[in-house]
Amino acid sequence: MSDLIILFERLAQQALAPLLIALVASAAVVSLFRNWRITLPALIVQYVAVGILLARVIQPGIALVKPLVGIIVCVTLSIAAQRADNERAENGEQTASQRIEEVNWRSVPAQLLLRAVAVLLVLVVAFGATVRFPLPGSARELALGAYILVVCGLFIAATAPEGLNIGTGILMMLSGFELGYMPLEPSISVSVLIGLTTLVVAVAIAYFTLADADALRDTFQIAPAYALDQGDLDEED
Amino acid sequence: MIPAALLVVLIPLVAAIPAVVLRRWRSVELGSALIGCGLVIALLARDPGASLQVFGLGIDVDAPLNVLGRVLQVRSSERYPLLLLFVCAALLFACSWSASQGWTYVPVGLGMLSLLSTGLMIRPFVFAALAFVAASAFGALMIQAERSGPRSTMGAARYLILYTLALPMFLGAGYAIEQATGITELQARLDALAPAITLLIIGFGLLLGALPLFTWVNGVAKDAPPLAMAFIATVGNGAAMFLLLEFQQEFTWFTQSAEIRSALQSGALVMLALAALIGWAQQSFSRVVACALFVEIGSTLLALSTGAPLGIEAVSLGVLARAIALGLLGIGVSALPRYTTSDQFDAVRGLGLRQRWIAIAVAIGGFSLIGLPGTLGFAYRWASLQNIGSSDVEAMVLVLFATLSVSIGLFRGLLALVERSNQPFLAQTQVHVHRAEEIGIAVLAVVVFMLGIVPSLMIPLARAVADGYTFYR
Repeated sequence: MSDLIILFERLAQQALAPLLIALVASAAVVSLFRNWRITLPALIVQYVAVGILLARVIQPGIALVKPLVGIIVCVTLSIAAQRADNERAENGEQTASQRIEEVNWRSVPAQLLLRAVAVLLVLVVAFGATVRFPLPGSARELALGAYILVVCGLFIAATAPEGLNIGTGILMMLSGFELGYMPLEPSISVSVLIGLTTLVVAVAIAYFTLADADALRDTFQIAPAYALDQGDLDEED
Repeated sequence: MIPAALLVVLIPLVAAIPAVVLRRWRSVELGSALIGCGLVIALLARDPGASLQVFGLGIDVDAPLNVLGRVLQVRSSERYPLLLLFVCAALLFACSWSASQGWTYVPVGLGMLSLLSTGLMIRPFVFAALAFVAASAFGALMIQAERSGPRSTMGAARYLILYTLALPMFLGAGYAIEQATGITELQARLDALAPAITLLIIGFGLLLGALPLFTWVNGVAKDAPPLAMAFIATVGNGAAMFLLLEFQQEFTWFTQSAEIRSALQSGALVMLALAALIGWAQQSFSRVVACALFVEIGSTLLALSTGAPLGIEAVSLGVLARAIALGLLGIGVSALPRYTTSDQFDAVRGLGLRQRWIAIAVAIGGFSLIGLPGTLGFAYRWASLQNIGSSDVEAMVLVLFATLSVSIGLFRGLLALVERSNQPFLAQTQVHVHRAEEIGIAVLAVVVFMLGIVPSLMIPLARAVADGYTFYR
């Protein structure tokens, strides 16, 4: 067994409380902020925490798939987000890094406070659901993680207007479903297929990110929407 | 021997490669898609159990394919539904010959087709849900197409979110079904299956667009390019419907469940009531199409709730009729952005008099969609009404009422299209509809009327689909 897998297994067995705290913290950060430079690193932390938690019910070697998929997803999304930011910068709009450097202290606290209250409520709902509607299977701690991710993911997907943030919510929901289902069917095929589905969904989200910033045309070198045939263009000329 | 299931999954994916790499050459893009679909259709048209030799390689039509312990197989009940979906996909790809739907349409559509086929062929069913979620990600790309700008992703994102939400329902149902497998005592078994029934009702409601009401169908109809919308409404929804039939075929408790039947009926009635309420008042063609889809989904759910052979024949006929009607309508509506900024009735006022082919496409496609006598849609609607009327006359009246409401909406749009108006349009209206577009419209219009007059040409396929399912006998 490689050192990484041994470490994974040891962390899974001995660091439950820190892992759950990391999960709650990352879910809260992703729910609170709408800036990819903050949310995507938090999402990577979340994928690692989910992967280690999964190692409690499946082979650590298979559980490693989760953080690997997560890193690929986050790198893909960050490339798309950076490309979208470049487009925004060209259009004179504020980029993600500028929004961190030049915080608008008039509007941000109110938005953040509102989201913080909502996230608190959402977390209470998740804790309540874990107690009132326990998921089948022996790993109740995973059920708590699953509920937190699904409820927070749903909250983000329902409230965020931008493709990237909606997508982050969808990815959190998928992680939550995996965390809830893996104790019931701990198999390689489920893990691999959920990983593949996550990658396909991430491609769609990356595309949404570019679309939101109006960067599709340059990135894919495509004609305007509902492009006319060359013949039509000639006729119009 | 190569299992046909592998080819059904791989051929569309392989065809997608030249379609995406050489997307600037429309003929190559479409050619590879049509060849891919044609090969799968030819493969599925062979008798089950038959094997054929291609380049020295043996292909077995119904041989199972084992992937990570999961089985993919073209079973006798899935053969014709898959064939029907590939026929509809090929037809809708062909419709985009002269009406570009964005670069994602053909290659991503092929990917979606491959994943939906996987979803129908894979067992256990839990994995079908995963395949459908992945397919919805492709569907979201088709919906987004080349549109960009802030908040342009809402329709596509909504579609993806709702399909993702269906996943835990199937995962949970799969677990409950597995737990109930060992129980021999009938009542205890039914009690153990109760959560599975509830979860499957919600899961299928989400996949078919019935739950939550008015959520993704409307958003997708508004945002997606017309033919992409047609693809999702025909191939995507058709696959979800055949998955429901597969459940009925596989699980007796599912077929006999009173809860499932009443959920199908309630969902259908609510969708039909909504269409009846708002269909007449719509102001754009995309919204009229959304309301027409409510009627289609409602009628489908009602037909499935009866579990009669005629019902299954009717819904199979409906998938093909919808593909042709929406394909024709889609060609017409796709041409509108050349002349106007939207498909609102006010924006297209008078355009039909100057661009007659657009008016013809929208009118005949729309007529078939609402089931006007003499069109292909009528043949399907008649079979569907006969089936629904035999068990529930009130529901049949509601279907008629909803259809009438949508028809009023459509006729208002058509009247605006052919009304005399001096409204200026974006492009010079001397730019005529492309010759290929004219040919496409003419061919589909002839097909709509020909199959409307002689529906028996389509009956064998619909009957073959129904014959594959034995649960209602």
